[in-house]
Amino acid sequence: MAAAISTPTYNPLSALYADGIDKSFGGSKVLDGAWIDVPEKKIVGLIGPNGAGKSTFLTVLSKFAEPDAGRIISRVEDVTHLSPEALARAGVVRTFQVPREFSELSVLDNMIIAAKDQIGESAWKAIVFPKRVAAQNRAITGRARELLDFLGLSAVSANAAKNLSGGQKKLLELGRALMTDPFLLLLDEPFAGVAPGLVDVLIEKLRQLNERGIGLLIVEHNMEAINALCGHVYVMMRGAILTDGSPKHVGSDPRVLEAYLGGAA
Amino acid sequence: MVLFVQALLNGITNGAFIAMMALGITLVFGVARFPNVAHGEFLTIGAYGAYWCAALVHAPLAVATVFGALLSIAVGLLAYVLVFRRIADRPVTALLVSIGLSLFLRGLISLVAGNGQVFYDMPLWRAWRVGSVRILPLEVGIAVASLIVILITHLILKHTRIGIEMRAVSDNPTLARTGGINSERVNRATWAIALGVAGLAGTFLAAKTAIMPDMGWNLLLPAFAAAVLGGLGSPYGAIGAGLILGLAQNVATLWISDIYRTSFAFVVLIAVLLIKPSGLAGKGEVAR
Amino acid sequence: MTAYLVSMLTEAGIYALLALSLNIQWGYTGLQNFGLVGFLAIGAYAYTLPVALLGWPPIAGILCAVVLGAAVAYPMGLASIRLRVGFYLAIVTLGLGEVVRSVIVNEQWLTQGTRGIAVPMMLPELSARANQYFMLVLVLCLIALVFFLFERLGKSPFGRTIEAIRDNEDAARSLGKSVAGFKIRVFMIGAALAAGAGALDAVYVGYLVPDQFLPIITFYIWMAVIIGGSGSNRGVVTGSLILVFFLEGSRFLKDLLPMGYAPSDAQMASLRLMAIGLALTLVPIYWPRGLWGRKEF
Repeated sequence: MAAAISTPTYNPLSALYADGIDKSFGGSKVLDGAWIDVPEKKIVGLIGPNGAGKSTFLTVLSKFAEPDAGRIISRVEDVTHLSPEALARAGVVRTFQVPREFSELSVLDNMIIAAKDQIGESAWKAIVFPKRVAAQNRAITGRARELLDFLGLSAVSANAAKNLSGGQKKLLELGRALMTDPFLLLLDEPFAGVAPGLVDVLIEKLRQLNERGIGLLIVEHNMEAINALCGHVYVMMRGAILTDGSPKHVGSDPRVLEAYLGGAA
Repeated sequence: MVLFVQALLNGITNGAFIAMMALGITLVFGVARFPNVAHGEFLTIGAYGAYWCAALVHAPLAVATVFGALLSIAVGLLAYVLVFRRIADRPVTALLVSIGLSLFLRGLISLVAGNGQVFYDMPLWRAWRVGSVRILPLEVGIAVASLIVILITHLILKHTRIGIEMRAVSDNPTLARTGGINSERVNRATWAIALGVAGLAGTFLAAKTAIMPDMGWNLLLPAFAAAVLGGLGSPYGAIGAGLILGLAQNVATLWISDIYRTSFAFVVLIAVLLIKPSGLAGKGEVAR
Repeated sequence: MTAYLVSMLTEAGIYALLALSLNIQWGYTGLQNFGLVGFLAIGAYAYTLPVALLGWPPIAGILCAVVLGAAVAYPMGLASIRLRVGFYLAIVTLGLGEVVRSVIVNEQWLTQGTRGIAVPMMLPELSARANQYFMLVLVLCLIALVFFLFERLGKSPFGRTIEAIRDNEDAARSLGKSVAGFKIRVFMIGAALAAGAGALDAVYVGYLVPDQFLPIITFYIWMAVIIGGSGSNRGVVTGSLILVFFLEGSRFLKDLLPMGYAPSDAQMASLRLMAIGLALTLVPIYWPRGLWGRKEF
């Protein structure tokens, strides 16, 4: 067990702030007082050895699981007990470690579906106001094509999503999340399975997104990406935050090296 | 007052039957991850098996009972190997297939045995009287036998190696596999136990009431309600909930028409889902 | 002969409406509704009681059926659809048919129980023959209308979203879609349509008894949908035709066989049960897409 666990500083104005997060599955405690602070428009990293609880933490933060204890706050609002879709609508959107594309639909349709506040999602409005729905559809399609272009997926926009390569699916996952106009993205290992040559491309794209004002919380093992992108990094071990700081600071902390080399989470 | 006590006593037997059915359903759900709609048919097969054995071959009671249970296990394991094992990774398909199997088995049984009711030849024992309450020795015998079956299942689950493995797989399948548990063996054992219990329930029920092709199907909804009330995947939850539901059904039908027996179970099911979907023994996150 | 054909087509048409209702629930949205016969019965009684006993006009009766169907679907949906796993809806709907039957049989003061109620024709001024033709035309028009509406709905954002929900529910949630809300809405739309079909069925049969609503009807429709193809409206309509062909055909088969070999009515019923059971067991495993299905099971 690590000697000193870093302590949180309460910051309700952040894009996402959480502290005291506990989570148990069956008998085992996976998260133990975990905390994190993701300020507006910043890029924050979350690293740690396998089994440390990073993915579970992300799952709880995005409300896909209820915390046993603790609080989650986004832009002053207490979102601890919100449904995952309500949090997503509010602007905090997650991607999945294993991409969950809508396999039967085309890449373009995957993007179009993601757009928020579509008039046509109401059954009776879809029947009664076809022209308005079509007009909105055109606008959304335009936006989708722009984003696909930005992500380099234009060439495959008509392909069925299930036929994409692993790396392309990850990009589609990102694109879909962007269609909802989020202010914070929770990315679960976005670089996993991405071909080495494309890592730099993805780093650049994420940087551009951040420049447009979108905050990022990145759970990753790829240290090149973490170092290149993150202003602040959290290190998780055995369900708790071991330490946090700039990538350089954290990278040279002997406790962090021991946590990784020590093997056991 | 007398009626109330009478209802409670009958409710124990009723509850025992529901408990046995619910136990089977929840055990299979634990390893196969789908509710087996055909489960009722294995009760029916047990009943008919015992009946044919006793009526046609004049075998003694004990032999007929064992035969009924074995017939259930045989047909059920056949279904497992031929059908359910192939779709182990598709629980949604398995549910629909189990419905198909249920229809097929019921059709087959009614074709072979006819649609009418048949009755087991049981010796007539005089009722005992405690005050103004009538207690039928047959009921007591069945209740005791059912509770013994439940107890034996509990002992298997708790103290035998296969029982512990079954519970491990039900709790956390991936962890169990990495822990070196032979999941195929556990699957077969689980099905066999679930089927055996259902078959025995069938033989006991046959001693008490009319045997007909729909008898298992009629118990299915209360059994599902009990399994959900107890928490899907929890054997002890199923047993407890089954007994509670059986008692509640009998007490409720003192006031409402007996036709509403099954509807009562339905209302309980809806109530459980609205209030605490993970059931009494509920662990996992079910609601969203 | 024509009277028989008219009758058979009307029956096929009512099955087609039920299949369309199941298609939008199961084919598009992935909802496992096994309570079709329950909604059918609710619709039939919700139409017949006011029309036969209170003298309401048929339109009002149909409206009553549709509204009651949706109203019953709502609490059922609320209880089971919000849960992560789809089985709860399956289990709950399996019980609906039995519960509805119990109510019909027991509440004789309201439903006349097993004695039954005569259902008045829709156009009593015209002959019985004319009424039969009228029913057929009405049913066919409704099929066309529902088909058109559902196709339109299917291509709209609503349709895209419910299909996405079937495809990957959590992904839909992560994009802010109210998954439970959509599912409950679809469940209610389907239930309303099934109840409406029940109203038409009551008029078609002409006399209402609880025994008309056998649980196996639910599984007839499932067979029609799976064979026709989940997710395809024209597929499920075709499936309904195949279904009726099979049901009527099995009756003729019996008449064709020589005396000694012909199965009794009871045996035919058992064989039909076995055939449907076998189909529902094998088709989902070996032919999941059916004729025009757009969904892998």
